[in-house]
Amino acid sequence: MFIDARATDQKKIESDICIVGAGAAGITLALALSGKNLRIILLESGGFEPEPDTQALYTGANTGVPYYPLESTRLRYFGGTTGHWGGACWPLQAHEFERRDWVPHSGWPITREDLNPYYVKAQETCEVGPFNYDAEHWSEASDQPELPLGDSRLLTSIYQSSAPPTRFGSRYREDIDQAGDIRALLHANVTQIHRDPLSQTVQHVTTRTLEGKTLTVNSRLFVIATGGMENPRLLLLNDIGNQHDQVGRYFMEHIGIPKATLLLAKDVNTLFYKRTSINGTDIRAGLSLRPEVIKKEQILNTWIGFQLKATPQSRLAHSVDTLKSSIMNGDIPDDFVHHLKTVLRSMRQIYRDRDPAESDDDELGGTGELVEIPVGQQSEQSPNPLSRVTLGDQLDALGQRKIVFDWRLTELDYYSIRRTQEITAAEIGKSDLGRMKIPNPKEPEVWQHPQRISELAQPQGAFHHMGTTRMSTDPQHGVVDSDCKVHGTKNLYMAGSSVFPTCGYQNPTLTIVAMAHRLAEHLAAQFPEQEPT
Amino acid sequence: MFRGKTNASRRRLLQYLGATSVLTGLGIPAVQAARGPELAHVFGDSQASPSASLRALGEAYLREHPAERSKHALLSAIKGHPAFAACRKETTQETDYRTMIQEDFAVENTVALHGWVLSRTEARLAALAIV
Repeated sequence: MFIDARATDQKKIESDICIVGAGAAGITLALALSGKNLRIILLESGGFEPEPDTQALYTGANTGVPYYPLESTRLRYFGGTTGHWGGACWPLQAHEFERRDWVPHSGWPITREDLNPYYVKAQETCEVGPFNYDAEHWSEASDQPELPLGDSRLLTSIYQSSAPPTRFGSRYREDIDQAGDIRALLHANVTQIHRDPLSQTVQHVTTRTLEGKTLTVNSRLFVIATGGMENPRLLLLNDIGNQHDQVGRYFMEHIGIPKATLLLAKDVNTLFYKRTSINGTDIRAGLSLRPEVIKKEQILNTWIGFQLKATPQSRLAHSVDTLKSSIMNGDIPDDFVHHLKTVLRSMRQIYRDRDPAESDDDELGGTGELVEIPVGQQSEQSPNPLSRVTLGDQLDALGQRKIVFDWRLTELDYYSIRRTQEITAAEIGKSDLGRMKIPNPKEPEVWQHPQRISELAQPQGAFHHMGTTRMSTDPQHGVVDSDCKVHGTKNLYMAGSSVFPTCGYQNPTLTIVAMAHRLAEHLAAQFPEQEPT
Repeated sequence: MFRGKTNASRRRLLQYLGATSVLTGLGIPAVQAARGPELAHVFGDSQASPSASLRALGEAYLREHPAERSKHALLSAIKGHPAFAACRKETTQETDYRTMIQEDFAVENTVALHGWVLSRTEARLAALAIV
């Protein structure tokens, strides 16, 4: 059930598990724990729709690499940042969990194999296809070939898209409402975490509405799931977990820099590299380096994607899938008219294309016999203790210190992007598919000067905030242990991408949700006396 | 079937680089002797003529490698390519630069001209257009 903290007269709530934050991680956790005879409290700062005053609690200062306004990169309402999620789902690769000698602070205390069962659950939660990211499988299923790269350092890598993106707020609102063991408090901002230093136990949290109404939540276990910037902020505000000055450090983003360009012969078959629906699963293919090449080159991982125009067939399939799933769910999507128009327009275009005299020759965006394709890239950032979230002197409307955000990149980050582009260009040339134009080379030194980076390299983030309460078995090198429990506490856990020690190039949502499923299993095991209802 | 298309693209890319007709008469006849209009892509300028683009590429290469700014130096460099002898067809006196170009890419013997990553052989062929 939902309770509006502004309207309730309750002053104290008792629970077994208190989850702070109702985004992808918090909602997944609450639902995964439901039905186990536990009293679950889900605390959410916002309501069901974005509210300017609540969203303003996210404002802060940027002092590092130029970045977006902090309040624009995340959403503070029920469903959290899934409200503007693009839907890309892909698991981290096995080698990305390993310690890499050339990447300082790399290595997870868990393996990809440990996460596999939870990835399977996450696929369902995120409403994507089967847990299969084998490019060859999807290429065969689509009857479209991979690029003939031959004996190449490149391989085709695919991701699945939640299409339309699962908005956790609207998709799971009824499930939360109907769950008899979940109480979701809206407009309840956690302002204090009360920890007994002797027992190292969090005893209760205090919530406050913007109108000043307070409430206390007692619980046996607490989970903070408020995102990669607010997670460290809450710990720093309450001086928890920071005995080794690790909280807020190692902030990572996925880096994009100005686009490269690929020149291909127009008859090179790139259909598999368009976003396309295959047996109901939305797939997009791109290129990445083989793991052994990454190791040999001692660089970070990068994904290269071609920004190809959608074909009428793929546009049609996407819109038909969207309309079909909406109708089956009894919903009318916000963009219903758009999808309806797309269906009609695409069908008309496909029909017209049967007549060569009327065909649209601009489908690939080129003219003549060659086609110029913009190439996007999403790159892993290395964990860097100087890239961090700290607290400033400015206060928000609740009297809490705002974030000072200092995003910093290293020479390895720059070199990895540059080197991947060089290798890709060489492999494309070697395989005779085309030629590649890459952005102007810049001296690595400019990456140490934020004001010049903006001018020269123009790195862009992807709204992926990771690493700020990183996982490590050693409290001197991390904030949470391999079960996501905060070092130095007995009952406080963190959920979300803030626990990632490294981030790969993959969009984090699927891994966030997989980790939430894993955490739910761990938390449920702390209540062996509870019988499932 | 797909490989066939790739061969076609290879031919067009050589045409795109446009070096071949320039080389005729220089003692290095090429496999193809045609230039496509696609050179304009090099600068993203549809108004640029193919020969203008080719000259600009050649000029960019020579700016970075002034020691090669002569026919003799460029031809010597091209003939000095490890794969040159194998690519030379004795019967027709033609040279199949494709193998040399692919070998350049395989060992990253490449240059970046106006941002385009080209094989060094390609760049030298372009430079021959202006010396």
